[in-house]
Amino acid sequence: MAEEPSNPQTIFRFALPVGMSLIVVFVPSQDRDGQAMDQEYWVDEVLTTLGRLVRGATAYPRGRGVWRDDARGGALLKEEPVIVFSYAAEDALTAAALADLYRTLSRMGRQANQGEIGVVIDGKYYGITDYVEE
Amino acid sequence: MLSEEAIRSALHASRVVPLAVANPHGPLGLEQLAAAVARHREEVQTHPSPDRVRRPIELPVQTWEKLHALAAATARAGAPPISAGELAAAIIEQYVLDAAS
Repeated sequence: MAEEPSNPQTIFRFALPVGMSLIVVFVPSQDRDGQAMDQEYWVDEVLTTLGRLVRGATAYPRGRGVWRDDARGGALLKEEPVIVFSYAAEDALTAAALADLYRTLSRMGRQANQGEIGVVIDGKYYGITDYVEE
Repeated sequence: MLSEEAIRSALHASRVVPLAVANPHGPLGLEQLAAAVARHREEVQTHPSPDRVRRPIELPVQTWEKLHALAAATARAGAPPISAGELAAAIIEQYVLDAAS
């Protein structure tokens, strides 16, 4: 007897809760010169910031990646970023909360010597390269 | 819900790129999202404009905020949205061209 096609989303009844936004921050493992950075410290900083602002966050173990820094002669940098993600309620995702998150990310960009800090919010990638001290 | 421009402004983002990953759930969804981000970064890095360079410059916070406001005003006027960084580059480029002529 042929089985009916299964749909895990239907079987397990999972879906993004209505009114929630997914925020994903990529915490790099190296600076733009290829030197190891204190990744654990920055993962903890991002977790703490998101926990304070939107009530919770999870750090997902390292993936692997590579990128080419053309401002540094096309040097290839191999990355093992930690993905920190959080589901934020609509009323928690305010401009003030994002400005607070930016302060943490710009500090990471400056102090960890990053070419760009990447944040994904609801399927859009926001590349941060301006690390203003606020 | 905040608009894309409001999020971009609050995060001081220099660029916004829609990703082709809808509602990434769980570890596999996040891996898919991370791969999409890595692919995009790679595409941007491997197709640079050959006659342009990127250099960090330092500006007063107030100047940067005014650039953000000007960039947002430009977007509201119906032109394609530009970032504060793109606007700063255009202003500098124009100034240098005018000064040289």
